[in-house]
Amino acid sequence: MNSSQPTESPLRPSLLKRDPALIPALAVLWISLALFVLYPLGRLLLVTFTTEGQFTFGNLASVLDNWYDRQAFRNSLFLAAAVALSGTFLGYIYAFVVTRIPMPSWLKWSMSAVTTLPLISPPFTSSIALTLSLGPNGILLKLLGIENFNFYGFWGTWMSETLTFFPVAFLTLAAILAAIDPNLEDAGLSLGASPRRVFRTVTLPLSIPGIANALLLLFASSLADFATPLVLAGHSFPVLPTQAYLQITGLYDLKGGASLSFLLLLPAMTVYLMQRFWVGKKSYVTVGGKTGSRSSFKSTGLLLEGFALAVCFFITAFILYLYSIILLGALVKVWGVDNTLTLENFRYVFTHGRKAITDTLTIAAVATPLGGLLAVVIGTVVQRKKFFSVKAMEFTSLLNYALPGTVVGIAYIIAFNEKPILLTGTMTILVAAYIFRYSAAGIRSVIASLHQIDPSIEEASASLGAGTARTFFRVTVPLVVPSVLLGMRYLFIHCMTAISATIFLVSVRWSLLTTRILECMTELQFAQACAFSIVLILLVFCATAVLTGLTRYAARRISGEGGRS
Amino acid sequence: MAVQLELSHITKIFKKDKDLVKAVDDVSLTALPGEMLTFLGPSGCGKTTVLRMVAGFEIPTSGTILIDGQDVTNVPVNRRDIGFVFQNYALFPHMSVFENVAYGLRVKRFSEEEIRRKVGEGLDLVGLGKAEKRFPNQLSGGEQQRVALARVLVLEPRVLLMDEPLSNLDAKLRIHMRTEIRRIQQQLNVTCLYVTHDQGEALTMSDRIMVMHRGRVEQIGTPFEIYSDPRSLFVADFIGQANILPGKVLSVEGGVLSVSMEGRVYPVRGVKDEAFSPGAAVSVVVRPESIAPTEGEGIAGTISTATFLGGRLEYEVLLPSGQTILSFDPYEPGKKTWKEGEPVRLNFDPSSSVALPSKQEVRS
Ligand SMILES: Nc1ncnc2c1ncn2[C@@H]1O[C@H](COP(=O)(O)OP(=O)(O)O)[C@@H](O)[C@H]1O
Ligand SMILES: [Mg+2]
Repeated sequence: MNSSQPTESPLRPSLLKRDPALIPALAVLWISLALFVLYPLGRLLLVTFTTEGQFTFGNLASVLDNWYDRQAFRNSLFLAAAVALSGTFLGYIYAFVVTRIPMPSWLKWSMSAVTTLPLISPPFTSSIALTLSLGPNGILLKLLGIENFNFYGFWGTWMSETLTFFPVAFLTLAAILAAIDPNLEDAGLSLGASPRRVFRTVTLPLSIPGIANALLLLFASSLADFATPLVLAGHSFPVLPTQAYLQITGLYDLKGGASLSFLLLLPAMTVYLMQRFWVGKKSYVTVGGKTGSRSSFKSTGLLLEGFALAVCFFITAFILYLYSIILLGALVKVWGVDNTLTLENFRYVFTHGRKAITDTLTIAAVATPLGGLLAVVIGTVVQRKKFFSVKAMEFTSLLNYALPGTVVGIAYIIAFNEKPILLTGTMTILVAAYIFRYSAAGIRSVIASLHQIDPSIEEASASLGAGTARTFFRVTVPLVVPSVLLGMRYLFIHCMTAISATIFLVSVRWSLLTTRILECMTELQFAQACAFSIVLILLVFCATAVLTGLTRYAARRISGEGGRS
Repeated sequence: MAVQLELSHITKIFKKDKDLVKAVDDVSLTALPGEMLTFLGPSGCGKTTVLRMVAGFEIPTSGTILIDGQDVTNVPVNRRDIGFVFQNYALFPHMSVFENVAYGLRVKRFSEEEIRRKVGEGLDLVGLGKAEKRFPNQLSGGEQQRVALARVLVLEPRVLLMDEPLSNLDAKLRIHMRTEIRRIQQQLNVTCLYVTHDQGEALTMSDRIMVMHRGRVEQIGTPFEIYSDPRSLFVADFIGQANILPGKVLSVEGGVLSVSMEGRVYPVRGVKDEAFSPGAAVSVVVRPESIAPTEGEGIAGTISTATFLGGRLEYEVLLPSGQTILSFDPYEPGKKTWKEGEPVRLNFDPSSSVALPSKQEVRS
């Protein structure tokens, strides 16, 4: 009977009026995102596609005409695909072993712990250790009596990147495998399927979205990796990030570098978009949902389990071996020539490297809390405020993270090397590069945790009389503190260990530990490089331990002090 | 002082993936000062949405909301002076019970002393005086519910809004808590809107009930009116259980109709405020507790199931017309019982039944 149209649109514009704190917050966020994400990217595209103010494909064409650069493009894609496959395979085996095979818990714990080592190490670690083992004069080669083995090129890079990046796949897949409702597997068994059949018909299909996600993540990581190919790829196996770097630092060819990084940007963006709009929608399992108890004897078949266990133990042992090589390398005079033990290298680190240590720590200490703040604010606005630009805001805030570091670095030197915004050589540019790139983890985890927290908690606060600001600081922030700390930990680790973007941004005034390691490597001072790496790993480890402790503490507070959590 | 609450012509349209969903359709109601008014209806009929608009969590697409004569339609929730109790309690997990209850008082800048006193009183009121230091996850569901109640009561809200506050509790506790909530509401004399989909809850606690269906108001009235004078077949069917028998009016005398149904003629009361004329088709609402098998005269049928429930027997009786009638027969030792397949006659008390005009939709 009442068929008259509503007199007003369902979305009344009074949202802003009712939530006045939103306007300044949105303004500040959009200005900083525009300045440090959109503007550099725009300048990069401008340099790529113009010559003397005219639009042109000329710069891109001259890069594509170059045989060597074309080779770099092909190599990059091939390497990324290879690393994605091998890393995801390894990660799945690890995740399967940890979540499905009954083992003493200390064993599980130590296996997971070993996989976190590559995550907190500077990007050169496995490259250095592999060079010392399989490069010229490598001890593994000597041990096995192999001669004339050329380790540099595809194989060395592939191996090193697989070891560096498979933990990412492991974490993604372990979360998925652990979240699959055990009742589903039990149901399969009770319907008469053999354990192996259940694996093939239930477990594996349910983990496919996770596998796809891991593949994309690893593809992107390898595509963007700069440090490993710089050390291990050599001239016979050029890849895009190193080519772009050499183009700029070696030949001072900004246009060529920009064009190369545009080529790198294309596949990276494709992967990012696929991840957001395709994999993101296809997940069957809700991570963080409640998991029932897993029934204990459910062997997938001895052969399969034996194989998985063997692979895990081998890889774990190999990682441990690599890290002991680094430690040993830091403690001997000249690797493979004069093996007397010495602390000389550490003395070098704490004298000649002191500035790098304090600079790196200062930058990380400044960036981490700022990034944490950014993550809470963006996460809350995006997840809680129904406002027309929030989707675009989320996309923009994660953009720098999706772009390879080399692209971001080149975009930043193009954008901030001249007036009106002259920032090169300052700490600001380093901090900004880190914050707007590595807060992504924090933003995502804040969004995820708010997703779990029912909005009625905040509505309760409002209905008890609290305004927007009070609700935000007294209710929202305390509840997301664990995820913010998680994000801050990630940010801190990357402030300490990243190199791909910041190598373009370091200056005489601000030097970084990672760039010092690279210098040592290029001057073949392996012992000093090892010592730097050890110091860096220890610093990161201590800071991570502190932040992890804080996270636990905060999480316990939230679930009620001394409560049955 | 308790205040009056008025909703006039409230409509709410949601935008859901490009579709427009009319969740609430032209709802008007007046809750009198100190009244307990429950919203009753099946899940998805818009009860929560109405309540959330009264609270200020949602803005109506059209219509106005008056609290104590003031138009609050566009006043933000934190300045409306209402108390909202959530279905999932929404206690702050990172605060102790004391801090949860003190939260609103701190917003209003009461002195520490007063806060201490009011929180104490509030917790005593709900019988949780000793739980101040505990955290929400250390409380049972019923205790959390009481804290949620105390948290809004200490603020002495003008209107108390509750959205299915008992639906997460087990059956026994639910019955206990509903008398408790009713006691507190009467003691504080606060106007209260209470959402539920449980008719038992609505019938026992309310001054008046508003039955909703598909975003519309079906009927507003006291529990007794709703039960005995349902304005629609939907209401009749939703409140209690009902057999609906088609019939035809033969004659009208005062409020009582002679209705021919299943080949017999019964005097049945016509529903209030409806005019009937001879020859009209009607639907007669017969409650299962007022119809029972008998060895004497009555409507013929065959027992299709007989279930013994202790206090009573439940029969399903198949009529020749194909309709199945539900009948509850109180059980006493020695009383005659019927078995499945037996032919039987059904006798009912026409005075406790009511006739509605036909051509109404039944509950979907
Ligand atoms: N925020 C919303 N967005 C879109 N649709 C909604 C929203 N809230 C409720 N609805 C829809 O409005 C209708 C009424 O919902 P609700 O008021 O929650 O019902 P009830 O509380 O009676 O179960 C439902 O169809 C529901 O899907
Ligand atoms: Mg509801």
